[in-house]
Amino acid sequence: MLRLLIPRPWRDVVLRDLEDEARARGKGRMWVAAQTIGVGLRLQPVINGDTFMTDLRYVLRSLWRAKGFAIGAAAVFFVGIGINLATFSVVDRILFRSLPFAESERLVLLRACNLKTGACGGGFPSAVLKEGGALKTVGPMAVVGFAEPYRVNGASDEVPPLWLHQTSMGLLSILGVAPVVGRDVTEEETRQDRRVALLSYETWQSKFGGAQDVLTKELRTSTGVVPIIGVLPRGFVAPSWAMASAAWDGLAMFSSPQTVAPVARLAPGATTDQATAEIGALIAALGPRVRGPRDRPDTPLPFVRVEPLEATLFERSARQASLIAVAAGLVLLLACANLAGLILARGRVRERDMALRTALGASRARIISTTVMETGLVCALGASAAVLASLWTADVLRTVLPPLMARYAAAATDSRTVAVTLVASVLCSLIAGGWAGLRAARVRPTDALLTASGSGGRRKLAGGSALLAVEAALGVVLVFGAAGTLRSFANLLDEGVGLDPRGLYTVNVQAAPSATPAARPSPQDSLARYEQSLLESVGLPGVIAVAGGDSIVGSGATAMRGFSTDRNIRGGRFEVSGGYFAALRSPLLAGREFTLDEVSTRAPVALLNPAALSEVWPDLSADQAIGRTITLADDVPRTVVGIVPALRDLYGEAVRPAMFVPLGTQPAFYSSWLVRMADDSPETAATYRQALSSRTASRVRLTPLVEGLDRSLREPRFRAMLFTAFAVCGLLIAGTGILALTLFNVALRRQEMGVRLTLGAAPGDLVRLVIREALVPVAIGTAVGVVATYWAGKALQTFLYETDARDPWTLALVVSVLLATAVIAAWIPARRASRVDPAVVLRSQ
Amino acid sequence: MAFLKKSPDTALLGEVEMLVLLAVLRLRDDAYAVPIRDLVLREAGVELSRGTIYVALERLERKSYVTSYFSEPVAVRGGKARRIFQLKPPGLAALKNAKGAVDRLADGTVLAKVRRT
Repeated sequence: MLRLLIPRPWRDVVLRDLEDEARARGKGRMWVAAQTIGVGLRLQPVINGDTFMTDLRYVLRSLWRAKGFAIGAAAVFFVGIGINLATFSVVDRILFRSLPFAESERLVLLRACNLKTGACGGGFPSAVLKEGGALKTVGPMAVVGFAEPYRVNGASDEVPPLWLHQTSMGLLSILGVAPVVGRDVTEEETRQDRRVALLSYETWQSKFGGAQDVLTKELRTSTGVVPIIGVLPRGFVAPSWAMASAAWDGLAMFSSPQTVAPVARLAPGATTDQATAEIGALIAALGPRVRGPRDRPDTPLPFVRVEPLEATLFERSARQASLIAVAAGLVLLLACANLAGLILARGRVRERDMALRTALGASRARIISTTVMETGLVCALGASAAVLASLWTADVLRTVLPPLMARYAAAATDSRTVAVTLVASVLCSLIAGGWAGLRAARVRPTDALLTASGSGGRRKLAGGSALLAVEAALGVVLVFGAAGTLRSFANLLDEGVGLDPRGLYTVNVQAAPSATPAARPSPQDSLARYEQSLLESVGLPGVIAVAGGDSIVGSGATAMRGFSTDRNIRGGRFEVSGGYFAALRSPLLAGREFTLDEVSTRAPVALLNPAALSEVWPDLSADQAIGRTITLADDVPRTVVGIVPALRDLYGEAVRPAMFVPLGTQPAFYSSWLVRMADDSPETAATYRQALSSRTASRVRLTPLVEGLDRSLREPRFRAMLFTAFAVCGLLIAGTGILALTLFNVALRRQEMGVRLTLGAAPGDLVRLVIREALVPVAIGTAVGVVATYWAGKALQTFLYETDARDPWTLALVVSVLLATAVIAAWIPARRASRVDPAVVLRSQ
Repeated sequence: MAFLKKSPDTALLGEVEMLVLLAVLRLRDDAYAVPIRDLVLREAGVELSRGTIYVALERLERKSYVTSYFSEPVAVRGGKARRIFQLKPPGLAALKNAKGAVDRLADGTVLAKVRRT
């Protein structure tokens, strides 16, 4: 085959010379092969440069004459490559690129794990952070915490706040990142623990118009005024799961943010295992000092696991991105198969043309290269349209992406994305065009010329059935993916979160910021003010019910405290006001809510959720548990007065054991409560906000609970939408493929149809014949697709909620959808075949 | 653009073309790709790739500087005919032209005395 690389006039001469030389110098076949490639690549452009231009002109002319075909084929490829372009721009950073930090492979995440349960995450022992400076394998550590709202000093309260993530002061130097405007934290600021803010490049551009005077501005928060000292580089993302939250405008740096998994840099040459071992030794040396203030003396010491930052951060996203990339690849493959079918049919139409060229001396290679060139031009047209379309749709795409992916999605004009599109287009041209070209070049000129003049019979399109089978198999896999993700999404919605979020708002009342820590209210004062505000809310216009709690369900916050029984059963502990569950519209399964008396006296009573009930008293029903006393390890014994329904903080979240106690049994800083409004119109909410604001002389913020809950639906909704889009495109492409090839086959067999009708066949017989012939390869392909879904189901299962990925009913539905599409696509040409006028057809022959 | 067109008489040869033409001139009836490459390497110390030699021969033939014919099969076992190149008058004229140009330009400089190294 390699010899074909050398242009014909030189082929024999060069090969003879190379063989002679190899013999004389004792070289082997590999040497000859390498030299053949080298000489061929040098000679090709010199010898065939003119041929290429001639062929290009020929192909352009023929495509211009068949504009309908060119546009149709380009549209099919546009769909396939467009989906892949968008997908690649999203998954590239997660799957293939390293994080945009200096020597990112040395960056690690430190996670505190519970040796008993094996669960990792949550609070990180602050003693390890404090004493970590002495470690040899790991450098300084920095924490990236959760986002807090900040407002531009002097801006009105109507302007939405900026969400800045709390981080340690040394974060940027650990990551090796420098601000593009302004500066990093100074040593003096670190020493004095002065809180500073750095804006993200995107926020600087969109909310400050990229103005240089941004460094003169200040932000305000509940703790005081914070200066803006810099702007982070474009595309900077702080290394934390917290970044997956929708809003992110920058970093707020101070010395003691919430201690979640810190980031650090490994010393050169050190491994994660060595670091894990060294930190383990440090924890053992620190002993009880590592335990949290609420931990009991017998609580085992935590275990810190050092993990590579990139792999840990993207673990789940990478799996999801791989799945999406594979599904998008299937759509492209489907588009390629369709394109091959169209090119094949076109080759058949131009069989005589090709035969003539062959008879006049065109080589097989030239026939194939012409077909590849034609496919390449069609692909180029489709790919260019896809790149243009992605420029316009990039912003829309970002709004539907899960936050982490949206943050990491590359711009559509990114050179890598364009390069991958180019490579995919070239590969598709080579595969589809090469395959169709090989088939076209196989035709003997004499046969083709005789057939065209009417002496031979018209046969079915060879290779068409194989393409139909491939399209059907790919279609089954894509529709199956869509059906699974849609069912999973429906299950999530069906199950809900155990409350009715419509018309529910979280209320946040913020007093004017205190200048000094000394002027800040004490926890007791805060609680008193909170309770007062809560009471003042009742009776305001539009308010149906008001309820308070230390962690608001559905707002993404987890329980602030935990409970532990004498038998070491653990769970979340929530402090709630009376009428909390009535406000949520979550009727109790048994018993009653807290009375006002119980709340005001902070009586020793409790409500349990079903998960806690089944752990504490596995043999008791909800009714039987009422009146029983639960003995707690770190609290007074409490009488259970009610069993509440299973509430989820977010859609699809597992229900963990939870105990509810009267609000305020232990004073803490409370800041928000729930209010149920008569309706969820913005006007009602605004009226309430103004009324409460004037009564309490504080800033009041209302956040619809639906917003927080909706965030948890974003990822499954995105998956369902994406796979549905893939499936719709797949069905569309497969359907048009079946339609085009059947139409073409019917056109080829018009004479046969005419004869059949003349011999007494009924039009219905012809319809059935055409549909049957189209359905046979589709059925074979569908069977192959069903087998393929067995493996695909395994990969998909991880992302499904309460849904069996290999559910036979789903599979039956998928097969029905695909076969129905095939029947509809084949029925149109079948009808045309049955309407053939035998007299006209036979006369024309 | 007529002023950019060069007639074969006035066109200067490229370095590779000149080396290949000189090798063809020297090798006479044995001027095929393999000995041409060896001669250029031995006498000029320039190692040209095989592809470069074939491309140069193709271009020289298109310019009518050389012509080619197939030799009798070589008298060894499995020996095959070779494509032998011969210098044509325009090729010789182009060589003379190129050498004359170099000599005239070098005249009066230290290069004038350089004949052989």
